[in-house]
Amino acid sequence: MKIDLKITSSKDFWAGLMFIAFGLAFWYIAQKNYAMGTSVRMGPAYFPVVLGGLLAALGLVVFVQAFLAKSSEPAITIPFRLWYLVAALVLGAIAYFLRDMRDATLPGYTVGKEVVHTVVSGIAGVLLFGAFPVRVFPFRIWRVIIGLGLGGFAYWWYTQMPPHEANVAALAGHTLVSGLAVGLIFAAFGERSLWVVLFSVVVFGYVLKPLGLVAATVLLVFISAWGGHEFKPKEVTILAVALAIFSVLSFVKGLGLPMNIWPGFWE
Amino acid sequence: MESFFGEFGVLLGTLAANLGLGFSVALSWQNLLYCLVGVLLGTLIGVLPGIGPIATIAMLLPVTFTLNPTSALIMLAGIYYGAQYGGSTTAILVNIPGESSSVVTCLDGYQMARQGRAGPALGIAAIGSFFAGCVATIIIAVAAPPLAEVALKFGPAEYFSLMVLGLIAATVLAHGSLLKAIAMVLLGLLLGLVGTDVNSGVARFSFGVSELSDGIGFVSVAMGVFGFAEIIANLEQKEKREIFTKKVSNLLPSLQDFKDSWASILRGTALGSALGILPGGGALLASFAAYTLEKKVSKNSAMFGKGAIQGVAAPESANNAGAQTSFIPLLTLGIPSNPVMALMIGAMMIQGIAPGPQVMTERPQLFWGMIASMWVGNLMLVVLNLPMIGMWIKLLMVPYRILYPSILVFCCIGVYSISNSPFDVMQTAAFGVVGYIFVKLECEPAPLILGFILGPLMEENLRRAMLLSRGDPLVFFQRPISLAMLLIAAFLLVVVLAPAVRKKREEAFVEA
Repeated sequence: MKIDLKITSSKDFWAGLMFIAFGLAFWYIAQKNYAMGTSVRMGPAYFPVVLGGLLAALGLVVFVQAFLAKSSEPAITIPFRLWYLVAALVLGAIAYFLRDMRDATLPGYTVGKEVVHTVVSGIAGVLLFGAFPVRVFPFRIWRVIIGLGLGGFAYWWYTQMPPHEANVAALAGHTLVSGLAVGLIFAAFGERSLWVVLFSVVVFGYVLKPLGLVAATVLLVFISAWGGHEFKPKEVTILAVALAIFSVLSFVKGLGLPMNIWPGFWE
Repeated sequence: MESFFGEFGVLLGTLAANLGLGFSVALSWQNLLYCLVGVLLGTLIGVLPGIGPIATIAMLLPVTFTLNPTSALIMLAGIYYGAQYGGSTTAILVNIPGESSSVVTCLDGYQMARQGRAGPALGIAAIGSFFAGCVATIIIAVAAPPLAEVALKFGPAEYFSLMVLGLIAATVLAHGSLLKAIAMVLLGLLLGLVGTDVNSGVARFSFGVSELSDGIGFVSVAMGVFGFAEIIANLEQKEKREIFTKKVSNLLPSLQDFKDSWASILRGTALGSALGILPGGGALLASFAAYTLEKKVSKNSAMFGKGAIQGVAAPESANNAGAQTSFIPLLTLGIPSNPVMALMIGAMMIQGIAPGPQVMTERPQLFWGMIASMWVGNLMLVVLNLPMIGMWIKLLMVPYRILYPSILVFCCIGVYSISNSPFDVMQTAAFGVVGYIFVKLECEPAPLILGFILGPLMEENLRRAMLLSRGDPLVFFQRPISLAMLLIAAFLLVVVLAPAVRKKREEAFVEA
């Protein structure tokens, strides 16, 4: 069965989805992990559960409005495939109830079972997106998904890394992965300048401690300038040098911020 | 009658004594210096499009660690109202608002410049701003003490309702979709809850990241959502800037100009002062409202948009008045009315000062010193800025491709120095992504910031109120002040959601 859904405001559509996702995430995490308490003595979960629920509800209203609002924007028509959605939901429900298959601590666990389970949930996910043909997404959804995956990996890696230790190789690798994650998400929106700017910031954060302020500033200026519309090597070099001198003089010498000026292994 | 004058005299006496104390603090050479740095920096970022007071204050917050609280707040306040002066220069000469609160100044200011009257336009903007600044300073000095006294009687229920009112008002006055604005407030409140819960000691939503157990850094959110997202959005558009190259001469407006605009300055000041006090108000709203009012009041409204001096005088007075009076809720109630004030709260907390009505009694030097410094700062702005306009114009010639890497460098160093760890920088980059998505989806970030700063406060007061009432939620309706505030909040919502008003509101924002 195919139903045509007309989205009159794609911005509301995505904003609504975003609010629903945030609301549900906060609601779910809070009620699962923290104590609710009573209305007299509220536990740590009370306030976030209420707010999360409210946010998801509001998000739903915004989402529904995206289909109802009158707007001068050209309507997007989605040839919405209901059966894909139904199948995705059914498969998803099955996967949820069989989630014990993934639990290695239970008796009867085999890797094969976990693989089967992963495949079933994967199909559910693909069907869910397949219900809405991909081109209605205002950005390249796969890049976002891969970017988010890499970002999750970078986060996991971060929790594994010993904190505040200048292991250059690990830092470089982690910088690369996080940069790639940010980059992919931004590349999904099409504009190079966007992700270059954020990438430059991520690089700055990572190299400041091991390589010092001068190198970090120069890198930041060069990478971010590359994200602009025109890149003039001579001008950018002068700017980078000037900014490096200025920030060393004012922030380290003047304000006394505790930062390395030169790479740690030089000193 | 006699007793009235007697009381009035006493009031005037304490006011004079308080202001005297304030000036003795503000006029110390150190505070004068920080005030000067603040207003100059404010003017600078006001002149430059693409960086606003929010990002600048966020950038400087870590630096204020090293200062004493009074100097720090004097400097940060100077940035905010200094930016209102600077913003008008760009609006008039380049037809680009240097600050969002100068958007309407472009309409008539640039036309005046094209007619060769850039000088008088700049002059009247500065004079109007100065007048408004003086009046607003007096209003703060007069209105703050009684308000703080009322606020001292507030219990948790009153505080909770006050915050509800503040947040609702902020969403009503934000432009764009009301529903989305409320959703953004909720999202902000939730993000504010990340970190260790004071009552139970549970680290909420921290996902095992030790840095998150102290909560999400406020500077990161503000800088990411306002600073980085703004740079990225700016880079998306091709740069085209047409600078008024003709030499600006004769800054003093003529006698006729004064005759034409004195009433507008008065109206703008009054309207701006009133709107600044409102939660959700501040410079931006004040300037829009003042321009609309002038157009309504004027006998020849056809002149507007074609270089009417009233169209410069009124909004410029209003935005400066609004910028200053928005300190009133902050100083008396400890509640921020806009994102800049939320940052000021952050600055106070960095210094270990709990914002609220007790600041005035416990730290009179800080309180009155800051108020007095506003007047001093305004004087500095008028005296220094008019001769320096040539320099600001030169700065405007600096292309954005040079500006934005510089802004990024300062932002990154500022963020990094909060706790000397790359984590804050990453966090800010992440909020840059989020902020960019907000821009794309037309979700206003200002309500989110307010919610973020109020989240923990609101939860705390809700808990206390419910504990005191033994779990009876009716307590919010039984206490008269609390009830009144909730009723006003409900009234605001109903009014805005009413179809007729809704249409008008959308029109007003489109027109502006």
